[in-house]
Amino acid sequence: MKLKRTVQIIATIIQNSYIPAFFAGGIYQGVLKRACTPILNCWGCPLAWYSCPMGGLQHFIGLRLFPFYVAGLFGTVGMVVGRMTCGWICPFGFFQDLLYKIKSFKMKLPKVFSYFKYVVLVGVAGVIAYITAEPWFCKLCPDGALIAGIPLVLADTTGDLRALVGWHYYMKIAILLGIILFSISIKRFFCRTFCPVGAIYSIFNRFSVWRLKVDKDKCIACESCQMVCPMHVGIYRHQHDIDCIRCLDCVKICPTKAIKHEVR
Amino acid sequence: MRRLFLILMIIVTLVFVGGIWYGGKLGDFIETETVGSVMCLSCMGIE
Repeated sequence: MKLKRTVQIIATIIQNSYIPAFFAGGIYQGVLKRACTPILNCWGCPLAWYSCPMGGLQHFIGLRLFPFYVAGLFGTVGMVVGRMTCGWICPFGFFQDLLYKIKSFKMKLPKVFSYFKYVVLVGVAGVIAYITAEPWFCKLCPDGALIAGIPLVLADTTGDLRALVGWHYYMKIAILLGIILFSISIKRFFCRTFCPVGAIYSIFNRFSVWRLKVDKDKCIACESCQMVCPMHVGIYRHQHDIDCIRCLDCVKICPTKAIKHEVR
Repeated sequence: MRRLFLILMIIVTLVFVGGIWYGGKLGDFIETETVGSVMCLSCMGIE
């Protein structure tokens, strides 16, 4: 198995392996929830050990407090590895990688859609969360529907949660289904167009200590890197592309070894 | 120039690490644990 796939599986298990939830119900409540994972992973998931940084960010914004901890976490991770966490340890990214393996009609996404995630970050997770004091990205997040909404409602033995299911729940399920359908045909559809965590890290791709470097003299513009890239990035054109998740698939596939990763 | 840029990046990284530390001092860790330990109805899509 490829190293990346192994890391993705291990990271998913490390973040979501609170086994007692299967027997006791509910979610993990303990000191590990002080730590935010550096990627999008819903803290409402019954198996989640850690907190979601986007949920935390919106919580502090809603309280009208500067999110020192979460901003510091995003900044530190971003400055060191850029968007690498999206490629290696994000369970929802891993889920989309698997969806794209389903044989079906495949489509390319115009680059302009990549900028929509900044609208989601600033608009939904920032301005709207500030005005309403509600975590509006969480209310729409398909990851929350997948790993929190569906399992908790299905496992609800008392019927209390099921009684509360309404239009909001069905809307989240519809968003999730839409994301799933598009992710079968488009590489990492959610990561490229909607993910606010990816939007934050993408800003650091240009400045991160660890980065990709393309040797223009060696590059023959064969586009092998773009074909194999899970984000469909043409790294030979823009080596600090906002959508590069540093998965290193391009480094391995490059026939002339023009792409390298380096510490500045 | 390259060296200056590297030093600048290290300083910026340290500022972010300082942000985590300062947030911890302000009680951000405990606040995160508190809110993360409550069953998040918004995340589930339940009103």
